[in-house]
Amino acid sequence: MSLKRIRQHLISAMTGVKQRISRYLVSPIGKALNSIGQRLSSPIVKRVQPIYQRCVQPITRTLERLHRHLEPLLRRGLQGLQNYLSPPVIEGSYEKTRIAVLVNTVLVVLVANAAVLMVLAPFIFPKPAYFILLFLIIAIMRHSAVFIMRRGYVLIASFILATVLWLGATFLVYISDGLNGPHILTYITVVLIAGLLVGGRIGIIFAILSMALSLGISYLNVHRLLPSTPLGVQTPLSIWFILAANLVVVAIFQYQALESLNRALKRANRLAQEATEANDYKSKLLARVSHELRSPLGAILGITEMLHYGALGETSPEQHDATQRVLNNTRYLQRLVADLLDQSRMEAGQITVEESEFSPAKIVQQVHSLLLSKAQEKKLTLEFDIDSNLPSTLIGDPDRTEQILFNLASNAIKFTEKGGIVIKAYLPNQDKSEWALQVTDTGIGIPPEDQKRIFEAFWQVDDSPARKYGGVGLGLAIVQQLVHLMKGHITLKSEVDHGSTFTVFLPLSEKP
Amino acid sequence: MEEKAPTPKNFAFVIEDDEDQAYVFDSALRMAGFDAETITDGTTAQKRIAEEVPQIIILDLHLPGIRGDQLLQQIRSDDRLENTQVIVTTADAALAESLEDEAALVLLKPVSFTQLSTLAARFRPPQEDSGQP
Repeated sequence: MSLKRIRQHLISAMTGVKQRISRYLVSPIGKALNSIGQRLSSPIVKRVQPIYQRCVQPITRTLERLHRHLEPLLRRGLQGLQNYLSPPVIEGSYEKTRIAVLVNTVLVVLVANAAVLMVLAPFIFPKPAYFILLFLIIAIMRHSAVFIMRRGYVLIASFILATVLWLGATFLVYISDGLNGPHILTYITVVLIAGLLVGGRIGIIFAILSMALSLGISYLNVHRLLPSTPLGVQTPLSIWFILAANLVVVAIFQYQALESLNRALKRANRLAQEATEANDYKSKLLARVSHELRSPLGAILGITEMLHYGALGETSPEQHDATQRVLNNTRYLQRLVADLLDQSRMEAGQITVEESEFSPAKIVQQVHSLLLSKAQEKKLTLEFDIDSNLPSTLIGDPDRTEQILFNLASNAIKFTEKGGIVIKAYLPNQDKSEWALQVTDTGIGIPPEDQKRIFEAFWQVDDSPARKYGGVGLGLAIVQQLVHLMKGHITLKSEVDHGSTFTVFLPLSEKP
Repeated sequence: MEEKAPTPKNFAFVIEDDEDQAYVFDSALRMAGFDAETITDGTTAQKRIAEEVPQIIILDLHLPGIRGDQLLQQIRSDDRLENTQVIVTTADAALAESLEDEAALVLLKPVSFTQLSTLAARFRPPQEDSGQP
C-alpha cells in the first residue's frame, strides 16, 4: 500500500534530479560559456567552447540514456519488491488469507527490523557479524513461510512462526539478563501474535510457557548458573529499539485485528439485512401470488358450478361426473391457496384474533356438517360429542376457532382409511380456566420422531412419508400458530397404525 | 331501463370489474330469479345507482374509477335505496370484517355460485315468487 507511494516518490525524485542537473548545471554553464564566447570572442574561449560542448553533450546524453535505462529498472525493481513483500492470497478462504496476511506482516516487520539492526549493529553491539546472520535467517524464514502458505498450509506456517518467535524471544531473554533485561517485553508481543495467529488456546499455552521459562532463566541468572551473555551490557539505544519493535508489531496486530473484526461485522450485517429482505420479499410474493390466484380460481369454480347445477342447461350423467371432478379439484386448490394466504399473513403478523361471543357447540356442529360428506365419501364415521358442562356462550374468535377445528378434522379424514373420527368439545379440568377441542381418528398415526415436525410449515412437502395424501403441509402449521395467537396450546397423542388425537386447549372466558 | 320508467321488480346490479366473476354472479342472480345488469367500473355504477332502485346490488370493493366502499357509503346515504340489499364481495378479510355492519351480507371471495344463488333467492320479495325452485 505505502510501498506503491514510495515507488512513485522515488521515480519522480529521480526524474527531478535529472531535470535539475540539466537545468541548473549543464545548461547554465553552456549558456554562460556561449555568451562569454560571443562577447569576448577571445581565442581561448573560442578554443574552449567547442571542447566544452564536446564534453557536455556526451554528459547530457549519458544522463538521459542512464535515466532511460534506470527508470524501468527501478520501476521493475520496486514492483518486484512490492510483489515479493505482498502476502499470499489463499483462494476461497477468507480466514486463511487473513492469517497469511498477519504472518507475512510479522515477518516483513522482522526482516525490516533485522535490516536496520544489521546496519546499526557495528555502532551499537560488540559483535555485529551476528546481525548479518540474524538478518539472513529471518529473510529465509519469511521466504519459506510464504512458500508454505502459497501451498495452502497457512496454519502450519503460523504455528511454526509462533514457535520460532517464542524461541527467539527466549534466546533474547537468555542473552539479556532474564527478568532484568528489556527483552522480557518481547514475550508479550510473541504471546499476542501466537494467540492471534493460531488461536486463543495456543496463545494461552505460549503465555504459560513464557512465564515459566523467563522465571527459570532469571533464577539461573540470579544464581549465576548461566554462562556470560554474549550481548553483554544493554545500551539505552538497544533497549529503545526492542521496545519500539515490540510496540510497532503490537500496533500493527491491533490494527489488523480491528480491521478484520470490522469487515466481519459489516459482512454479518449485510447478510442479516439480505436475509430479512429475502424473507419479506418471500412473504410479499406469497401473499401476492395467492391473492392473484384467487380471482381466476373463483371464476373457474363459479362457472363449473353453473355447468354442474344446470344453470346452462341439462347435463348428461357423464358430464355431471366430469364437472364434479373439476369442482373437487378446484375446491382443493382453493383450500391450498387459502392456506398459503393465511400462512403468509401470519408471517407478516397481519392475522389478529377478535373477541366476540360465540357458541362452541355451534362451531362443532358446523364443522361436522361441512365435513360429513367428505367422511362419507371415504366410508368413515364422523361423530361429535359436546360436554354438557361446557358454557353455551364463550368469548373468543369464532372464525379462527372454526378454522382450527376444520383443519384438524379434515386432516383426520385425510389420514384415515378405516374407522372414523370423533370431535369433542369439553372442559378438561374443574377450575373452568380453559376449554378443549379434541379430534380423534383411527388413521395411520404419526411416528414419535415426526410428532414435533408436523407443526412446521411446508414439512409435508419435502419429506413426509404421508406425501401421497396431498396438501402442502400448512394445515397444522396454521393451526398451531392460531392456537398460540389465542394464547392456547395444542397436544398430540399418536401411535403408528393406531390413530392420532389432537387436543387444543383454549383459555375460557365467559360472558360477564 | 334507460327511460325513467320505474325499475322492474327483481332487478339487480352486479358491480364487478372482473368479467368472468361478473358472469358467474350474473348467472347466479338469474338462477335466483333476478334480472341482472353488469357494471364493470365505479363511475358507471355511480350513475346507474342514481337512476335505478334495484333489490340487490352485488358490489365488488376493488373497482376502477370510484372505490367500492365509497359506493357503499353513497348507497347507504340514499333514502331511495333504503330497501336495497347490498352484498359486498371482497378477497380482503380485514376489509370484509370492517364493512359487516353496512352491508346486508359480506362474502369473502371466492364466492361460490350456488352460495350466491341461494342467498340472493332469500332477498327476493315474497309476493314475486315466480316458480323458481
